Amino acid sequence: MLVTLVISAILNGINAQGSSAAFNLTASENIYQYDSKASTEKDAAIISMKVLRDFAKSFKNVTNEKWYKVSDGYMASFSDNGIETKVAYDRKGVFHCTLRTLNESQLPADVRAIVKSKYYDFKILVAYEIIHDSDPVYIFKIEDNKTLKMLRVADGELEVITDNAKG
Amino acid sequence: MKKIFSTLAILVTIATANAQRDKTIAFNSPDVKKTILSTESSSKVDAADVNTKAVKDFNKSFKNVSGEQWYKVTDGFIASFKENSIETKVAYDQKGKWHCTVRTFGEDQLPPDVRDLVKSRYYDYKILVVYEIRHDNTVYILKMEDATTLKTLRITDGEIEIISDNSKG
Repeated sequence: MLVTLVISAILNGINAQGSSAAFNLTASENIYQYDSKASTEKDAAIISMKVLRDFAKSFKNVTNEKWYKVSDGYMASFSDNGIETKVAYDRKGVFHCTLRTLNESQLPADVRAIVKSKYYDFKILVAYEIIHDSDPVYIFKIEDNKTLKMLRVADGELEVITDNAKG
Repeated sequence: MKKIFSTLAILVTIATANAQRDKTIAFNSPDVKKTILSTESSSKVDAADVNTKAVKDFNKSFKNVSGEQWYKVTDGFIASFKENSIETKVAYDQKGKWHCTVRTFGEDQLPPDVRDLVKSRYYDYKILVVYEIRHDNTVYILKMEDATTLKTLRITDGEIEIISDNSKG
């Protein structure tokens, strides 16, 4: 499913700086920008009404989001207080997940503490917050002088996903 | 710890120590727990004028050190030298009995286990200076800061104690 795609895509994209399959929007087909005021019914008709309704309900203050048709459904992309956010729906218009791309300063303090208390010598390059049907899962890319690591933080637990020497 | 060095030590608070960080040594004892031991107010003396037992002990304990400077203080003697760029002071009482050794260094010379203890909790702080005090056991006094706070910690037997915690500015 999409969530699996998202995570595996992020993992695969560690060296490609975010060129994930599921969220590689430049590779997506049929890019639409839907605006509740400016867009036409035709635009809206392309995106499942169920999706639009769910999105409007969940993200009341968001306007000018861009919609993308992807192989397994639809995706909305927008910036929310400077945080790049993507919301994925399946073909039937069922919400799948929300992915937010955060820098270190945008992380929840408790999540950051889990990482920094163990990897205090590492720089957090980027964090992905994935919300599906339970508590958020965070994927971190971190580095020190010699190592690039990818971590997964969920339910207060930290797991090293990849650990690669630089150079 | 005996009281002898409580008179030897210049008694100042840890807050005062912030202004003297480069010239003073944090001194640990139940009596002078929050004090600074300084050689600034002491007088330099030749090794010949130091209790021979102290000199003998020093030469035995620090075989590779030469050029140390001796100071006469109220209650004894202090040898001061640099060892691998670590400022080191060794204190003896008037009878020449070793009292303590204080080493001053930076974060990069801190033992990994001690550094881990501190950094895992204070990961956003920069460690400014470390005083390692060896007496009956080894105690570390760390001064560190983040953007808004200056803290002094005391670490003994894997335990951290906050000695001072002051807002900047």
